Amino acid sequence: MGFFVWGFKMSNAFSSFVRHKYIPMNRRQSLVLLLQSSFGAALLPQNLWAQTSLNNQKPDYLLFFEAFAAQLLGNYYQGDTSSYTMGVATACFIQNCLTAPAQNTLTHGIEKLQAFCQQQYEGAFETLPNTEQHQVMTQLFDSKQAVFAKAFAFAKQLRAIQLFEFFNSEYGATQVLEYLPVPGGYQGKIDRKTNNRLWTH
Amino acid sequence: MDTLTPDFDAIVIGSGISGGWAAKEFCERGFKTLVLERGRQVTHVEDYPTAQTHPWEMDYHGRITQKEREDNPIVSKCYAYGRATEHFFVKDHEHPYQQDKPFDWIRAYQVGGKSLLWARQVQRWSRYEFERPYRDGYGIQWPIGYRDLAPWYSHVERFIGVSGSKDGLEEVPDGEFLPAWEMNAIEEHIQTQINAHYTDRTAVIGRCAHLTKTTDLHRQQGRNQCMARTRCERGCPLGAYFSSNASTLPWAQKTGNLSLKTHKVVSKILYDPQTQKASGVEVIDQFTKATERYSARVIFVNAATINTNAILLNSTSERFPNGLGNDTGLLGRYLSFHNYRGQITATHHGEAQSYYRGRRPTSIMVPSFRNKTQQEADFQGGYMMFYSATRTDWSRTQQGPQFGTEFIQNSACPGPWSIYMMMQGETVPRINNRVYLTPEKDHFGIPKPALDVAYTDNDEKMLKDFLDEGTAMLQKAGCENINAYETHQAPGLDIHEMGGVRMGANPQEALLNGHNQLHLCANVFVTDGACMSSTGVQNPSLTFMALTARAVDFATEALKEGRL
Repeated sequence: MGFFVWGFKMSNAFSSFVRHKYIPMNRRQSLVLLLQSSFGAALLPQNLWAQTSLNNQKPDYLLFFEAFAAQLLGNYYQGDTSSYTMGVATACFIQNCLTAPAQNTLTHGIEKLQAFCQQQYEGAFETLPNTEQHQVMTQLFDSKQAVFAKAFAFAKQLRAIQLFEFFNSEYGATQVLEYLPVPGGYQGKIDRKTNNRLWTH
Repeated sequence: MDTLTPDFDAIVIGSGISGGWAAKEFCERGFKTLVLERGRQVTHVEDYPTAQTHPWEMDYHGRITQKEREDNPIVSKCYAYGRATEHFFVKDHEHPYQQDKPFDWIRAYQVGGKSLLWARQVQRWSRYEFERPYRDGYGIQWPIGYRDLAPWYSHVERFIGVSGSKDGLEEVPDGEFLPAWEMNAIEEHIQTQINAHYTDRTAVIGRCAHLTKTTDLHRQQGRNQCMARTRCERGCPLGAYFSSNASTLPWAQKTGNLSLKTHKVVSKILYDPQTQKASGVEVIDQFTKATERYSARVIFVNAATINTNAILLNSTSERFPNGLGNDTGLLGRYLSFHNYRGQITATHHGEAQSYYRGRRPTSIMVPSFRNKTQQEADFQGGYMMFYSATRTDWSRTQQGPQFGTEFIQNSACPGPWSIYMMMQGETVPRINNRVYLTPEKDHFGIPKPALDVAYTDNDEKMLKDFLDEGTAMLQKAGCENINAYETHQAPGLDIHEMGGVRMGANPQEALLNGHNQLHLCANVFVTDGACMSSTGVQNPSLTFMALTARAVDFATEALKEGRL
């Protein structure tokens, strides 16, 4: 079974919204937008997941991805607790750009992590307070806890996807990196002190 | 129903890098020229839809989806294929071909062909490329040498614009250069260390068809200086790199002598037994599927190597039942390519405070140093290396926090130096490496080509030599974490396929003479990659262009003198 709920390619209008704005949406807005963007595919069985997800009848990956992004990006996170932009962007990327085995790796990893959160903190990751989410993230990426990190190796893949989304968004590229669409020329040797931001290459 | 059409002085089949040059040279000399292109029109600037598109303006930031990858398992392997460029590539399902052995055939069916997508690296062949195959017993004697082609290299270089440094190296002769691109600090360091440790090799800045400075000739073409965007394969609205679309075709158009017809698939060249020459070509219209015929006094076949072979093989007649000019049965054979199977990555911790600005469209090259004056290695032919150094980006592994604000701040800064090195190796022309036609026909009723091409033990030995030598050179330069590996890529992905209609003075062993003219059909010329008797070490496109200009000069003189 595929990883995600949307068996369709993101429409231009929808993907444009996600990519350009990187602004918060509430949960219902994001899911409705997803359904609207599916053209005739809304009747596909997979999309029933999105419908039921609105009623909290299935695991909510959007919430998880959004919470994960908030921890990953720290002060650079542009949303809030009811924002779904990174969640939707992450979900669409996984659904459409990863192989089925890679999607399954993520699925199993998330399920395992949620089980861990339930056991240790008595709640899904996205429902935990900030301090507890931070503790989980620390364990996920702390090289000193090698056994734990290995058990949740999927987290690095998810981090890579969200970094890709973030640094290729308009905000990430132009406000955090120094995006140079037209460098004007090439200087082979400059001092890092005069320019210490990526995407000059 | 056949359509009557006017006669032309010349027909050029294909509008890519060599076809564009043929058109320019004929039209400049006052010859009425018809260019037949099987694909659509791509007008400079206006048909480059993604030239100015930012990453956040593209679906998945430019990544292709898994579905698209699965639908196009061959073309999606190409380094230049992505969301921003996919409209310039032939999709796998559109024009299937038969692979007797794996062969990744990358095609671009539109006005300009692959000249929109090429890597733009241009080095002259040296005398060693022309002499070595025969000298070392792995090829026939080229009917021309470096001295024959040198003035035509200059002619082409002045027009297209080539950046480079005058290095005085016999193995890559200097040309008519615009200012060279700079090396960065680590690239320069590696160059210094190579020069310090070796006497048989050196490293120099790459030579590429980008305008680092414009001359009057470039401004007359409407082209501008390169802005180091490296969005080249999307089509350059500045015309800063050479393509048929930005340069030769508009130039030919301005003469008033050019007729360009798109969506015309050439099925065969028509042979007139009475004159013992070709009378014209037969084409199929992409939309109507109607057969049309065009006649001309001379025909240049520049459809790109494999299709050029296919057209000639399909040009059968009572006189030539096995394809035009193919009495020997050698047409389609000795298909060759470049060996790109070796790559090396490494890191370097020097020059910590140095950085660079802009995106340079070339890398550093280490010209061929094996088997230069005689065969001394356990393999035949030569290879060259390319390397570059860049700062790693946010996808790198880093120390310190692994998520959160500080992690993002660190990720946004340039990381340690990363080195990338690759090989470009000559392959030995083999009679068994070939293209031939299958009984199965495509949707135009033209037989599908089949490719039977493989590596040899020689390629394996050359690969090993590159991996060993490259590793040693990077070690001497102080690099760390050196990882030398084989890509296992199939032939074809190099996009340097050559041969099948090779040049040679002896009609018993070659199809074309020293002027790229079919030995057995004097008014048909082949000047794209199909004409190559061997692959050489260097990137081939500059040589295709120079051979084309030289052949047109010969053909037009012959036409004027009534010899054709």
